[in-house]
Amino acid sequence: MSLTISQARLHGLLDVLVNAGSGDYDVRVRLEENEDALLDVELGINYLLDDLIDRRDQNEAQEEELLTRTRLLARQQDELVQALSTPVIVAWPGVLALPLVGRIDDARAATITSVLLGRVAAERATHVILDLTGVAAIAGPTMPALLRMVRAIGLLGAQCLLTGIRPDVAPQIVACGGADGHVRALAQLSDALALVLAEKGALAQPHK
Amino acid sequence: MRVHVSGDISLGDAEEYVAKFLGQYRGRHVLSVVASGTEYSAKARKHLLAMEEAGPHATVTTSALVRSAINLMTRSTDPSRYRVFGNEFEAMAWLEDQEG
Repeated sequence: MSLTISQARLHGLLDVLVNAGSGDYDVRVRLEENEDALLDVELGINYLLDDLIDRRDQNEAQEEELLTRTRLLARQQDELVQALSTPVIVAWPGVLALPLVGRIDDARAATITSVLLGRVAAERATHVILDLTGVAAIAGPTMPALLRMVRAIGLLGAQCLLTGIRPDVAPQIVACGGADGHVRALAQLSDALALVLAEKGALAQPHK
Repeated sequence: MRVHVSGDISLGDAEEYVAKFLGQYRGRHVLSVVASGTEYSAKARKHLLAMEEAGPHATVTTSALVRSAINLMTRSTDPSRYRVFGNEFEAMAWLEDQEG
């Protein structure tokens, strides 16, 4: 079978292929009612471009969906981490306990301060017990932030007690002036709770 | 069955067509007269591939473009089930042969 193709048709085909190669699938082969086998090829190229656009649209939609899901997961994770990092417990009416676990950096200290001060105000708390038993390390500039929080709790009319201070954390507190009287420290969370309940008259005063 | 096809064929049109010829008209011999200027959307073309399981189809068209479109859509199908003709006389003769 021999086929005579006009220069114009051949150029038209090449233009479409070059455009498609550079990612532009909107340029199509101009179709005319030519009674020859090349028409099938020309139409086939247009159909292929239709499919490429369809798949590109599907890919873009999937990418967008993935991005939305990723953002949602990240937000949920942030919320979960924030909730888990500041588990404020009402140990007794007016008595809040916050067991801190892990490393505390500036961002976490800021979150803890914000959440805790909000709870102190909301619960009209008289005492706050900060348990540092699970605190492995406190970043350099974070200790002053924690001590500022202790003072802020005092300004809200509540007394702050620190428990579970580890030997490597104690010097940090001293260095920041935290042992100057406004920080009350006890060995264990249970000691602090017993002391507070005794002050409230709910328990016999423990031996000091 | 005799069917007249014209205009822009959407996915909905293709779904209706396939549902009929794989449903209540399954196995019937079909004479499909397709007008010049008829165009099939990409989704319609894909859906019409399911017609492979329908009865013998003879398409009649005078348009080279429509013929090319049908050729491309039926390229991978059994040639004894689908054929394009330039006039109804030849198409009917082929369909009768299929019956015979």
